[in-house]
Order: sequence, then structure tokens, then C-alpha cells
Amino acid sequence: MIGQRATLPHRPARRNVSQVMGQVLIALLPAIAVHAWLFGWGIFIQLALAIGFALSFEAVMLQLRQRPVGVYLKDLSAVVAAVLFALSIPPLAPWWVSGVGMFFAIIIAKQLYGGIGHNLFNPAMVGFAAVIIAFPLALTQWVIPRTLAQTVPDWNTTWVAILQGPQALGGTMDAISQATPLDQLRTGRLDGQTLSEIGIDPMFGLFGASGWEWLALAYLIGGLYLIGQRIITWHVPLAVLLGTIVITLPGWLMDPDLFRSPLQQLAAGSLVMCAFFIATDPVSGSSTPKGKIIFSIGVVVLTLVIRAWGGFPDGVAFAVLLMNMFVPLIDRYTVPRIFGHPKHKRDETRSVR
Amino acid sequence: MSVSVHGFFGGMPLADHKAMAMQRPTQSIPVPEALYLPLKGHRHQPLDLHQITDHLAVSVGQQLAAGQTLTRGMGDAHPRLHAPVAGTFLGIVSRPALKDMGHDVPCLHIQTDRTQAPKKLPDDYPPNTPLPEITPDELMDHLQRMGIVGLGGAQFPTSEKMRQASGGIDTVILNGVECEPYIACDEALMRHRPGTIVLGGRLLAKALGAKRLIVAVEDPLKDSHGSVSDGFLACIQPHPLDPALDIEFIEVPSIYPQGAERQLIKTLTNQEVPFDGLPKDIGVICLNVATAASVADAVIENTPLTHRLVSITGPGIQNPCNVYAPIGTPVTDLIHQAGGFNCPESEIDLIIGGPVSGHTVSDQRSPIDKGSLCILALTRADRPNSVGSMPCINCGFCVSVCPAQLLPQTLFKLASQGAHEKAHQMGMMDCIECGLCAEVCPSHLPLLDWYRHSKDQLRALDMDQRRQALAKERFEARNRRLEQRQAEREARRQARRARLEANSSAQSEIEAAIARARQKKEGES
Ligand code: SF4
Ligand code: SF4
Repeated sequence: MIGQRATLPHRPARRNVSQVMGQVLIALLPAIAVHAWLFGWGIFIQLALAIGFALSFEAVMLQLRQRPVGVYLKDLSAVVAAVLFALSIPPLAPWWVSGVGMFFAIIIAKQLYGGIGHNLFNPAMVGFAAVIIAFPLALTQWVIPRTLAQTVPDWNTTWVAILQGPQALGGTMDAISQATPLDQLRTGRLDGQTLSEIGIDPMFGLFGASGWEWLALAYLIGGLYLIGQRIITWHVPLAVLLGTIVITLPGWLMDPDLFRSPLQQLAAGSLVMCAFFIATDPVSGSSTPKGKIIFSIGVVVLTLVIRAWGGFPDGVAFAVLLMNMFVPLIDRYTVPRIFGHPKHKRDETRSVR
Repeated sequence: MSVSVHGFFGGMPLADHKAMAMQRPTQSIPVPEALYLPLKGHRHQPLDLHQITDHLAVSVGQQLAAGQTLTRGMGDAHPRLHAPVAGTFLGIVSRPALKDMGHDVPCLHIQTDRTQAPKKLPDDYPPNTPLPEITPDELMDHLQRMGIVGLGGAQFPTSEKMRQASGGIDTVILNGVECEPYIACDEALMRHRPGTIVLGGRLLAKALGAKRLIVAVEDPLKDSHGSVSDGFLACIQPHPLDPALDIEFIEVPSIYPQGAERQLIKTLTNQEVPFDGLPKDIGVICLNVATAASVADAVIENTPLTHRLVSITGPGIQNPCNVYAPIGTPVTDLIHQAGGFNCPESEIDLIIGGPVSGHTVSDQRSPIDKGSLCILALTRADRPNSVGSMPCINCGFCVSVCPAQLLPQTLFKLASQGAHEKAHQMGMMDCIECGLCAEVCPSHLPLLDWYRHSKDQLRALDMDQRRQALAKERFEARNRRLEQRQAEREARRQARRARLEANSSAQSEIEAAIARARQKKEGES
């Protein structure tokens, strides 16, 4: 049987899982660099924390599930989830945010579902959704980017804030942090201001979010690298980016006071990151080429809906998780036409000969 | 008219490594001590022993002349075999099968006469060789007698292929696109015998009434060593003997699996052969170049198919080369001819076929058959790192290379769960077993192994269903017969009763008449 005949492939595949994940990590380097430049040391501590938690949880769970720990730790998938998570939380978030986030990401979303390849939900987004619900306040306190503050928190401040929590800093915390542009937009809108009134604030910078637009650019560069390396195909990113523009453009053209510009939608939140690094997550995404596009459009629509009417400033995480639930359904109705088969009819009486 | 070259979905360029086997001249092999001609036809149809003995044309201990017919009349699934060389027929023995690891195959055992000279690859026919007069039916019968089968691997009888296709063939395609890396037996043939190939193609085209003959080869062959095309171009000048035939020589991009029949047809005609049909449904028939050459030999020289070119190659082989070998030669003899292995045998991964879709050879005593293209020896260094496989991460690499436009990861999940029926609905039987999905899978999943297993299961299931359907049909027929008999009996009874009743009513009428007469008489008296 298979065990006996397991002789194929006879040649090494061009890549193994670790190499694929390694490429994703390389593609995230520009974003990490820009993040550090904008917000200071925080990201490095967050990365260390998240990766540390992720690997420890993973190791413990693998041990409990009696899987070869070394093999599965080396696949780097936990590290990728940790890095995406660390990039999504505020740089000065206290350490337990990472702890709780990784607990949900690795233990609940990944290992309890059967480990790599079996998770229904995107682990990083499960982690992020968990902490945004558990620590709503801590998750809105972003460091003022260098583009506005001309400086970033020094090593000491960062260290103390992360290890002891923001209270330890007292008033300093308020001085160095502010809401994210998306958050600001949301509260401004709730106060009845028009977008052009809110938009005067320098925090909205060139394209709608000072500093953040550089981050979006860094994700774009990393994402293009992934496409160049053929780790991901262009379908999902293009569907997300183009989808955002197509959906938001008409409203903005009609009434820029009421609707945000497409560029702001892209630059201010995590949609670009989502386009290249989150919606492209293979395991929790659709298997079929058409399904991937439907999945991406769904993520965009839900994100925009949550941004406009929901209770959270950025909706990417929830949008992705919601769409994850639809994947089996999407897959079922987007099976591609097989070579030599007629275009529409799915023939049930296939011959075995 | 010239053909434009289209493409097919998926596929991947692979490093070809063909030069390895091409670096030495084509050689013939000293007559092996014994030959074992596998009795296994097209599509692994098993044969039982008495079925074989019934159809043997020779008896045990009989002296054989080279080319003598060994089997006959076993139906198209089991084409005829002929003695490749002179020798003695020793009977039927079991040998390890080349492809199905751990299985045996019955073989005709021939003790050869080792004093004879080995057969060499025949010379090419001059391009202007006239076509012999032969009717299509004669040709098909002759090819069947000569044991001609598809030499690209499938071993489907050429006569049967022609019969299925006759009527409505517009184009004959000769497939010179070598499927996989390392395999170079067709390239060797095309360099040595282009005229023979074209001649075979013309014979086929004429018999099938085709208007076009296309010879397709891969484009890198153009510049590897000199050119394959030059040889062909010399043979395809408009030919006075069949001026109506349009002969073309086409170079197609070398994207694996370009040599797969349906993919090649798509590339050349931009049409897909329907999944439940044959190439003839779109007016095309496609044959391997080696098959065409063997057709020419069979018709012009009356030579049965007894030898073929095999590539003995790979990084583990001392002197890689193409060998012209008798069918039934054990793998050991072939490897010996190529100088043996260049590293300890434990380091060798021996494969029949190419590196992507080939099968592991577990026993070197296995004999080659008419569909054996290549014996490939990879070394440990070429093997996938022995990490084993990881779970599928749904990366979709397999989807983007699958030429059958399937979802290999879904098929894999269904097959490994044993859900073969569902896999069937997702197109399992449409998988052409090219092996590309496994080649790119970062989780190193033995995808192709699973598909072959699943297809075996489905075929078995299908066989069962057929058997059951047959049994059911027999049962129902018997019931129908019984019912009919019952009905007939009933009808007869009815008829008898009716007759009796009729009789009895006639009787009573008579009696009544008598009675009436009697009354009358009594009244009168
Ligand atoms: S290439 Fe392998 S890991 Fe990737 S989707 Fe296909 S089967 Fe899964
Ligand atoms: S082996 Fe089958 S499933 Fe895999 S790529 Fe080839 S045709 Fe597709």
C-alpha cells in the first residue's frame, strides 16, 4: 500500500515548508524596519515576546499531542503567526497581551484544531481578535509616529511600559501615545464632525495617516517580493487592493466629506498587510483559484463595513475570521473546470475507465 | 498551412538532463542469457495461467527462431509477443513486475542462443522510399500480427487504436516530445531514423485518410547537439507519392508534461479532448515516434516488435547511454551494459520511467516490456531530505501546476481519508499521473502514490460494480425466463381450460339438444 510504495517524489521538491515560511519572514523585514523607525524599540521586544510565547506554547502542545517537536517547530509557521501578531499590536502593549494573544493563536486556533495545516481560522487573527476584546484600551494606545512626534520612546520607557504596563509610566504614556488615525476618524465621526474637519489634523499626513502610509508601503514591497518568489500569486493581493479601491471610490467621489478616500482606507489600517500576508494565508483560506478571489472580496467588504458601522476601528481581523467560516462553502461552489470537461455541467457519471 | 503553438494550463519547465544519455552512441546489448517476456497487457489486466497456455503458439522445449510468434489470439488487450532472438522456450515463470512493487508477473522464459550476434538498431530508410500498397484493413491486421503497440508507455495495441479512430481523422500527430527529464530514447531514435518515423507516419495517415501529418518535438532539441529538425526536414519535403498529405514539423515549448497526449493535442490544436472521449473526437490521432518507426519496420521489413530503445541513465550510472535491447531483458543486464552503478547500491534509487512520475524498481531481476522507456538511477544525494512529509498547508502550489486542472490537495485529502468515491467526483480519474503536484509540494507529500492507490481502488470498485451488475442482470434474466416460462405454462393451462370449457359447453349443448330431442320425442309419443 502507500507506506510500501511511498517512493514518490523521487526528487527533492524545490522548497519545503520551512523555506516557504522563511520567505514570508524575509518579506516582513521591511515592515519591521519601518515599524521600528516609526515607533521605536517596542517592536523588537514585542517580536521577542510573541515568538517566545508562540514557540513555547507550540512545543508544549506538540509534546502533549505526541508529535515530533523539533520537526514541527522548525516549520516556522508559529513564528510567522507571532510576527504578524506582534506587528498588529501597539508597540508599547504590556507583555501579557502577547501572552494571551499567542495562547489563543497557537493553542486554541492552531494546535487544538490539529496543528499546522488543519486550523480553520487564521491563528494570528484569532490572537489579535482575542486581545482586542480582552484589552480594548491597551490596544488603542499607539505610540505617536516619528513623522509627527519627531522622536520615538527611548529604550527605558519602552522596556518599563511593556514589562510593567502603561500605568508604570504615569503621565508619560499619555504624552507619547495617541489613538490611531482610524480610531480618530471613528470618534470624530461619532462626534458629528465631517471628514474634512477631522482631516485637518496633521496625523492624517499625506495619504490619510501620517507614518502609517510608510508601513503600508513596506508591506507592499514585502508582498511584491513574495509574488516574485512565487510563494503567493497575485490574485489575492490584487483582489483586496483593487476591491478596496473599486468599492470606496464612488462614495468618495460623490461626497469626500462623508466617505474616506480609497487611499486613506488602504494606508491608514492594515488592509495592505492583509492583502499580502493575512488574506493569503493558505491554510485558512480557500483552495480554489476562484474561491481565493471571493474570499478576498469578502474580507474587503466586511472590513469596510466594520470600519464604517462596527464597534472597532479596524475590522480586518474580524473580517478574516468571518470569511474563514465561509471557506468550506466557497470551496464547494468554486471547483474549477477539469481539463477536457464541458464548461458548465458537472457530470456525476464519470467513467473509471 | 502552418500550425500555431498554443499552451496548456499548469505544467512546469524541468531541467531536462537528456544530454546525459545522449553523450554516448546508441548501443546494442550482447544477447542476454535468458529473456523473460512479461505477459501483462495494456492497463494491468491480469491473465490467468490457463488463459495463457491456451494461447501459446509454442510448446515447452521448442526451438525458437528470431521473430517467431509466441502468443496469438488473446484479444487486443494482450498483444502478440515474438521471440526477440533465437533460443529455446522454457515455459512460463513468474518474475518480479517492473512497476508494481512486490508483485509478480507471468513471463515467457526463453533460453537464448548466445552465439548469435545482437540485433542492431536498423538503419534509416531513405526519404523517398515508396509506400507499399496496403489497404487499411490489411495494415491493421498486419500490425496486430506484428505485435505493434504504443511505445510511449501505455502499450495500447496500435491496430486497436487505429480501429477506434477510423473515419473522421484529419490529423496524425507523431509525438516526439519526451515526457520527462533524463529520458532520451526517443531523441536517439529521432536522430538516427527520422525517415523511418516519417514513413511510418505516412503509412498511418494514408490508412486513416488523414490530410495532415505533424511531427512534434521539444524546442531545446534544436540546439542541444546539432539538430533533430534537420533530419526531419530532409524527409518532409513535399512527397511525390502522397502529394495530398501535408507534413509539418513543429517544435513545442518544453514544459512538462508537454509529451502527455492530451496536453500535446491542446498545444497543437488549441482543443481539449473531451474527458470521456478519444482524440479522434476532434479528428486527431496521436502516436509516439517510436511506434511510427515500428509500423514502418513491420510493413516494409516484416519485422515484429521485439526490441526497443531504452535510456539507461541518471547520476548513479557509470556510462549513461541509450540501449537497443530485446523485450524481456532483465534490468540487471541493462545496467551492466551501461557500466553498472558508480556508487554503492545502497545509495541508489532505481526507477523505471522518469524522476517525476516513474515507479521504484525494487528488484533488478524484473524484465523490461514494450513500454519501458528508461531505467533511471538517482543517488541518495538527489533524494528529498528524509524529513518525511508534513501536513498539507494548502499552499496551492500543486493547483497552479496541475495540467488536468484539478485540486490536487483536495484529492489528496479525500484519498487519504479513503473517500475514493468523493475523490472520483472531484476528478480523480482525470489525473494524468504526471507527478508535478508532488514535485512542487513543500510538505513533501507522496501525492502521486495516493492518487495511484485511489485509482486502483476505484477501478476495483468499478470492476465489482460491473460484476455485480452482470450478476444482477443474469439473475434478472433468469427471473424473466422463469416468469416467461410460468406465463407460458399459465397460458397453456388457460388455453386448455378454455378448450375444455368450450368442449364441455359444446358437450352440454349437444346434451341439451339430445334432451330437447328426447323431450320432443316423448311429447310426440
Ligand atoms: S502543494 Fe502540497 S502542501 Fe501545497 S496545497 Fe498542494 S498538497 Fe498541500
Ligand atoms: S499527478 Fe494528477 S493531480 Fe498531480 S499534477 Fe499531475 S494530473 Fe494533477
